[in-house]
Amino acid sequence: MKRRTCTSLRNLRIGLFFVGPWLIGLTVFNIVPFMLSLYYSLTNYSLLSPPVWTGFNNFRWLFEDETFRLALWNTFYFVLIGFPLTQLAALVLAIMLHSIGEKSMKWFRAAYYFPGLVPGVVMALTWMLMMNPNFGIFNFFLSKLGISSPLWFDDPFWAKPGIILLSFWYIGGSIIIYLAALKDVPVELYEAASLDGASMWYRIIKITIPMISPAILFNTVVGMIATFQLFTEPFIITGGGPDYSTLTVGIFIYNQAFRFLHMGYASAAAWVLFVIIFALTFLLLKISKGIVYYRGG
Amino acid sequence: MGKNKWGKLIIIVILAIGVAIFMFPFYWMVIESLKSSGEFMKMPPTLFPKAFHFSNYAETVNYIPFFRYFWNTLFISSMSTIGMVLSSSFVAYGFAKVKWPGREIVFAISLGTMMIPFMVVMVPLYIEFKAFGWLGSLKPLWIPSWFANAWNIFFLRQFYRGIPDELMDAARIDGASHFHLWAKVVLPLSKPALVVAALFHFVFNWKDFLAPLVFISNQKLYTLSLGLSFFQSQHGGVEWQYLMAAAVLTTIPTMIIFFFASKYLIEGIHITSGLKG
Repeated sequence: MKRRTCTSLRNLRIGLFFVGPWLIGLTVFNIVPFMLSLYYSLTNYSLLSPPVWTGFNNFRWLFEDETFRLALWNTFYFVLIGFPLTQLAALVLAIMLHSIGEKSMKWFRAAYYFPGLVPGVVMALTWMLMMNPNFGIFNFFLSKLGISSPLWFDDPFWAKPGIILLSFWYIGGSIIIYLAALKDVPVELYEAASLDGASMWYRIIKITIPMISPAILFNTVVGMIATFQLFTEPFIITGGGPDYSTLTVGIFIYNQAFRFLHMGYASAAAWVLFVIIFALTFLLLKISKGIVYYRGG
Repeated sequence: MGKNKWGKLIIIVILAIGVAIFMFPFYWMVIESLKSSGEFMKMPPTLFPKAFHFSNYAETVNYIPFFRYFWNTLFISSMSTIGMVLSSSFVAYGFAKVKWPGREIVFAISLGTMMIPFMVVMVPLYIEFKAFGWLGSLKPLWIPSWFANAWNIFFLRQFYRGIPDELMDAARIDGASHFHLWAKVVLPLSKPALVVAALFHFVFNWKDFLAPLVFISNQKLYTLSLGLSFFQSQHGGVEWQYLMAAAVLTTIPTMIIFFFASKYLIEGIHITSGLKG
């Protein structure tokens, strides 16, 4: 007995020796800032003088703040409209890629993945150029097709769809995850369905989708969390405009903190974002329990 | 059978059109970077430049301190990648191969911190780094990586659990310490996994915009992304062909990684998604 506690103590020491760097990093760069952020959200803090406790005032102001409400609305627009569309595209492309077989698919897969490696700033600048209403190539193509072209990032209505269009170029990662899941669907299932005379659509909806549902859940959760934090592309292209139409919660937090030095107010906004992300992730995981199909083990 | 072949051909055609659409922005970036300023503003735009102005690149490199920004970005990406790979491997060993009380709880907490968005910790980190006296330097962008990161700990721990314990026990009996085992056995064995982790971290840091934007204010310390956005906001709409030339140059390192290592990156996505292996 004594010996066992002795070795386990020794192991604890060795374990902590290895995990130590992480425990320090976790504390200094994650847990302390996380707690501090909660504290700042309850204060008035401009960096120039120490924080002053104001209770829940920041949160009250936030919900009366027209700009914040717009930022929330815009962010939800990207999450609820833009994100599902890009996921659908990723799923359709993955199913198509899978259907042409591993060998021919590899080259395509790499090509679809490539834009994901390009810095967001570069993508954003290229988009500004292509969708420029005066000399952009995009509207030139549209006019060739006889479509009267919107002003895109100069128009409060079209700016959001413009950003969403850009986000389609980032679906490569999702495609790769779907492809990995598709590869694991047992061929016998399709064969059995074919013998029963099931159509392609029937097979996709009744076999493929349920079998890859864990991948769908994974992509949905990860992508949703990322979309809630959308920042770089709208920040570069429009700076949140025109008329706050692309102001995301991320840009709101950045502006409050680093342009107006409202550190407390920015922290409160960040916590609202965090609570929303946390609640929706929890909800998604909860709902998915009855839907997502995990094979044994 | 014939019907199937036609179906496959149609799908390949659709996928090829998709690829062309996906690649168009990159084609356009290059084309626009080679146009003269006069041709640039022409409507309708020319799909292919009348004359190649390679001089745009030379101009760009001088116009914005390109090499300085390039060096800063390379320094941050390399230093943080080296630190992250070493530290995450070290920590992952502690979670995978040393049996200590409380290990599972600490590991669960580690995974929980992956849920914290950068937006939440951004303000306190800024204040912290200010207190550390790091704000006038590149330190905020690479030193934290030397204290491991949850994604990579998770990923490497999975990998290390696959290394048979018998291999370790044999070495332990010979009197090797855990540190020795990590450095001499586990680290060399896990080279493929480390390459994957390193590539992802490098690309992420090369691309990153928000963290440099928040933590770097001295223009001499700008990264490429930051420099590009600064250049655009200062001279917006004027010298677009230079801006595009700089954008092309910024993308080249990721293109190189793509051509030589996309296989590793794709494998890595499979593994990190936790759906395989």
